[in-house]
Amino acid sequence: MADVFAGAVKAQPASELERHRALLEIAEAISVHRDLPALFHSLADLLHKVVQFDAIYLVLHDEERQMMRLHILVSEDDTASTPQLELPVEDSPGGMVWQTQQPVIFSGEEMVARFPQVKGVTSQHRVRSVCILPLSSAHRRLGAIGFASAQPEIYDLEDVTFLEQAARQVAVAVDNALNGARAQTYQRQLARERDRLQVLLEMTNAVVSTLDLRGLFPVISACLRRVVNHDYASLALLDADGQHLRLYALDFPGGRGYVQEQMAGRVDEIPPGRAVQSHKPYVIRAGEAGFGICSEIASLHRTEGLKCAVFLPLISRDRVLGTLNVASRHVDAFPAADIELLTSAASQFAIAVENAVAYREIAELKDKLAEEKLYLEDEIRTEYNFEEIIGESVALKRALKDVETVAPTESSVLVLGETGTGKELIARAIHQLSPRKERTFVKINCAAIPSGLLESELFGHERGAFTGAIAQKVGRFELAHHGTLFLDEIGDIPLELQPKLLRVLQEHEFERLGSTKTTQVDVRLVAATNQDLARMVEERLFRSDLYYRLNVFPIQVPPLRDRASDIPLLVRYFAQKYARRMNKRIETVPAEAFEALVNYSWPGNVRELENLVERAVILTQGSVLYVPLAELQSSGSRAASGVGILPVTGHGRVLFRDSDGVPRTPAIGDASATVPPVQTLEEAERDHILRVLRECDWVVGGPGGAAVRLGMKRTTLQSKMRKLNISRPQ
Amino acid sequence: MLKITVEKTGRPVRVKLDGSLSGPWVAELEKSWVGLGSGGRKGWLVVDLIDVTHVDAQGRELLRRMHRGGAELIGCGLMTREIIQQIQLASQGCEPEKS
Repeated sequence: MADVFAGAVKAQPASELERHRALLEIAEAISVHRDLPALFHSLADLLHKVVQFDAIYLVLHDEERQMMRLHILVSEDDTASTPQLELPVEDSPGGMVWQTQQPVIFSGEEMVARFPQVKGVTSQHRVRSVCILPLSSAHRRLGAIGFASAQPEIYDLEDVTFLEQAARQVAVAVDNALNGARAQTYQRQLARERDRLQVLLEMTNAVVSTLDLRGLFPVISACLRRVVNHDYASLALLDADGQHLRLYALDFPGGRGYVQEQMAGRVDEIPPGRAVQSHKPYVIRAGEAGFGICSEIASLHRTEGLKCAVFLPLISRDRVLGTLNVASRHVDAFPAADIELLTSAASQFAIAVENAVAYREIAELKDKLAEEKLYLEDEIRTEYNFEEIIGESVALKRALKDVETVAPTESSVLVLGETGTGKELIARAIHQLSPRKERTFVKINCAAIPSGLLESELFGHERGAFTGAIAQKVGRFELAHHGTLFLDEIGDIPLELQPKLLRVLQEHEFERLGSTKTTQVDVRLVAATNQDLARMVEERLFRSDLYYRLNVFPIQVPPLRDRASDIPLLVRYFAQKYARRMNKRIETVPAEAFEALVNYSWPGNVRELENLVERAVILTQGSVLYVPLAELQSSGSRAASGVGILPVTGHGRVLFRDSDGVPRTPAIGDASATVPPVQTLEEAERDHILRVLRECDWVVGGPGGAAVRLGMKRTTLQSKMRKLNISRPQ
Repeated sequence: MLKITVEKTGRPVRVKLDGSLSGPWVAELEKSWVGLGSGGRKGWLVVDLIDVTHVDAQGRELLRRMHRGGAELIGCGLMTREIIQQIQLASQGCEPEKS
């Protein structure tokens, strides 16, 4: 090019018409070319017809760095290049024009003298004349356009005027091209941003849709691979001790098997441990300090050919759960933008990890609870095995037949019977034979719970519902949902609580104490009592509507005296049970003991018999069961003297009072054995309390008071007096 | 719950029962018994009831059939001995004696 420049001769000036035509052609070229190098190539061709130059060049202003950069240079040999020449604004001839917005004409020597840093390029192209014009659109100053020639003093004012017109058109083209390039850059950025957000969204969707970490991890890894190239991804979780990281899930399709799940390392010895300790991403690359860290796991990763890795801490609510590890076989795999994205992904993933860990803990606890429930239910079945209801008497079989009849239905059942007859066993038998047997059998003894707490026990309460309600409590009705609730001693339920009980039986809904939220339950009710509920209804001690709701299917459990034929079976059963428990060998029961046991009235029913046999086994030294029959006689005497609270009734085998009050056993068919009228427990209790009160001159408390004589607390006696409607005569 | 342990190493074959012979476990015992085949002669099988805590009506019926099939029933404890005695008396065609 230098030779060409040296040999060139100044051409004749172009006519006005040629220059106008050139301007039109420039406008057309601008509309055709969007690419700046192509445009400048075309410009060079067009302008050669009207202006002399050997090179045309474009200098653009870099706003961020305040530099002037030589952008395009089209030289005489018809080549366009993008040379790497950058100069500060004040050191660049183009910078001067950009600042002043005035065209300048330099000789080569003048330019080099004023801007020494362009000496190289000036000498290279043997520049002896330069014309530089500002390149500005209506909106901004873009830079400058220069025309250089190897001939001296070639540009005059006429050239400058024309080139200014051309520069204004070129400025619009350059502005458009720069805007286009910028728009494309933004478009690429937006597309990248969109892809990354899409990945984060897909990750979020995956995170919320599954709680199985092992299943989730490959999905997360595949999402990430679409925007961050990687060969390896793994999830490491901190052990419970917080000192070890364990590889929980691995996605390493090209792995050779050196790295495997469940590998663990100390936090302070392995690279991901640094992310755990610093709470920040940690990056290592081959050749950098830390890459050659001496741990078995790190060594295995190197053996797999991994050369760059990012370890991202999984932090949720300020707690580090583990690390997300991404690695590549390329050294410069993860630029800053990738690490930024991975950090965002790790934040999302941390939520999933926390949820999954919590879910796993809940599932484990649930399994444990289910196992405990099974165990406890088995224990209860062992303790109260209705299949071990001993007896073959007609009365018992009738009751069991009723149980079989009603159990498969959903009806409420009212189990009636004296104390100790086994009402709870009957209730459990109903549950076991019902479709609800796989669900819970919940029991509550209404008489054993203070009346003030009974509502809370039955229906539960919210925290703060009353003083002392320090935590929420689930009531028995909720516990028995889909199961059976056994309300023992239903006659003792306070009147004020009865409407709520009736509502839950009829509407299957209630509210916990202190709550406005209605709870729906599906509970089958089995109630039991040894009281005469019908009479209580008459005396307005029990609501009639509740009574009728409960009394759908009454089952009468016979007292032991009505199933005396079962007594030998029961004695053998209890004797063997306690003998085994006490490691004794009992072979026989004396016939006279059997006879006495069969002939006794058993006011305490089976419970009393069981207790007696237990005592008998304790007292037995040899292989013959020693039954303390004297206890039976004294019990009988107590009953005869009226001290016992139960009346002695019978069907031929029970004890009766003689005219002198001595108990005796009448023979079957004994005409003298007249049966006294049957008295309820409550009546007997009322009569007895009344008699003692009269004897104590109605003094309830104190050393000589009725409470002491009756063996109960003063408050208990007062409560009973209210319940039995006993008051001091005026 | 009933644990059934079958010892076939020697003669007679021994079936040891632990727990309650009642409800679904009666069928389990029957299955085990049928699986042993028929020994043919009396005393080929010993059913050890020493650690049985309870026998329901179906359990008693199965024991009675096993006894008829040549099984010897052994046990201790008032209840178990009574059951064994009743089964033995019934197989001899006698009414059980009331104790």
